[in-house]
Amino acid sequence: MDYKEYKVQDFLGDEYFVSWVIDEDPAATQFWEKWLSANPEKRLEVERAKELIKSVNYKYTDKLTDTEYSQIFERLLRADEAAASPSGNRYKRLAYGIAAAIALLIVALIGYQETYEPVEELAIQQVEVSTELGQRKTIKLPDGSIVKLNIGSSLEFPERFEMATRTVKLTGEGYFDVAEDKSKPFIIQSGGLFTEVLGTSFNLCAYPELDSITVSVVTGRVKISNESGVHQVLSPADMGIYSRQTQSILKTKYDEDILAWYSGILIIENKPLPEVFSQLERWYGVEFEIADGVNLEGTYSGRYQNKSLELILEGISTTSHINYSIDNKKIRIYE
Amino acid sequence: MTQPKKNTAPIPLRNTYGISEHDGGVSEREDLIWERFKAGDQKALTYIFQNYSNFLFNYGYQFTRDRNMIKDCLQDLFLDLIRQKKNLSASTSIKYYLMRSFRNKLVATVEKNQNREKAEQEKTAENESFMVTISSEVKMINGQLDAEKQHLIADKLNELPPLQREAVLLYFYEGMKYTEIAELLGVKVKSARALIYRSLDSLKDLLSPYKGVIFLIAYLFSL
Repeated sequence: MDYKEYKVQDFLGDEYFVSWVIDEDPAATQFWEKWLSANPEKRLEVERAKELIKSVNYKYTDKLTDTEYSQIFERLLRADEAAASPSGNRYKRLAYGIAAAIALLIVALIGYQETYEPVEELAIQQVEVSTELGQRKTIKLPDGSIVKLNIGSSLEFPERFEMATRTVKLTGEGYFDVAEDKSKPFIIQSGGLFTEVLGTSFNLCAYPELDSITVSVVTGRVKISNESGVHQVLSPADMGIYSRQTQSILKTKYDEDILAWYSGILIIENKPLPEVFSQLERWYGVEFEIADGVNLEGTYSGRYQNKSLELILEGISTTSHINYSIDNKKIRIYE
Repeated sequence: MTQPKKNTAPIPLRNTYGISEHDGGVSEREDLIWERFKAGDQKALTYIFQNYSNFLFNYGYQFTRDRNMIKDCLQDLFLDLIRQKKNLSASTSIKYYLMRSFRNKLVATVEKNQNREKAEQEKTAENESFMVTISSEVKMINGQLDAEKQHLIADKLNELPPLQREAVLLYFYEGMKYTEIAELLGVKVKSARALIYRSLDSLKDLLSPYKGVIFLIAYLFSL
């Protein structure tokens, strides 16, 4: 092989040259350094070839999360121990089998006797926090995660997160700021959708009366999956839409307005008056009563941050020429 | 054991376990570890999993974006190893042995799934498999690779078919020899060589400094 005739491309095609650049093996380094001092005019070509080799990399990379890593590793260690135990010892295994069967039987019998007694006492207590219409609550979970519940929603979670995952159940809408704990994935179950995260913030809207459940990610990564395991990974600005009907999951981008409720911003966007009223009913937890003969044609738009209902009603009454009266939680609309 | 040779943050992809492949030989250390594993030493299993699980996971990620599928194949691979450890042959390299078994498993699974499901998503994954990026971490004296050129080279390489891109990464990133690439991909050594040569040919204009300038000027005028 005559290296003197080598051009950049030839160096690159030479497997020994390439593995020298990559492995920096001392013996090879010595060879190339010696060769270069004998052929100094080749130094430029060599440098260029080296530069290119050192610059090649995978464009997309990924790795196991810590949880995934330990899950697989634990399984392997168990399999390894099982394989290591003397497999020829059939009697021992038979004995274990019988012992296990007896144990099961005893457990079954005890379980049968105890069905009359509250079994929950043994389990970790579940806590349920819910909000009425017109009400929002901020909840701090045992792991330090913070959930802001929107109106008419509820969150169910264990008193302590002692299982392998931090699993909670949401009905309605909530903004989650999940404390990071890589060893314990945080999973939210809502309808048929499972939202799994390690530590991030996002909005999850799962009102039972809506056809779809949406997950809008603010920071971090969120994995959502349906009951058959079909999943999507969402990054910031991504929104996952789950259809209750088809169980399909769609990925798109969300409009910032989705998160407005979190900052107490009420957005009414060019809505017909009856819809505006039902939106206000939910937002403020009130009830509207429309007098006969009131003309409810026309639409209304507005954006309000932490404003009173009165202020909004004032706006509507001037633009739509209607009157209102407030009696505690009852709003009467008349001509 | 030698230290990692190339800064491969964020994931240590490259084999950094003191395997010297220069004379096609095997480092004693890995050889011993393999033997210890076969003899049932759990520390050897731990060593192998620790050092190669993420490397293999990323290798799998080049074939599919289905993380669960990669995880399942990875677990299966190690379970197979554990079950059959007594019958394993002496391996020339743990890394290549694992890569080969893992690749076979994964390719079979990906194909099986493609038949079963509608292949829309899988297809995009295939187009994105073994995508290359060129980014110099260290500024070289007489460095030639500016951002512009890095882009041009990466674009050229990424136009190549997936198998050729895989060969490029195995050769230039993993530092594998032609015989090793041939064995892994299940092709003749001559073909493995041809995969790399053809890739280099496609870069010809970009590699020669003068032609590169001409090419660049032509490219700029064409904009």
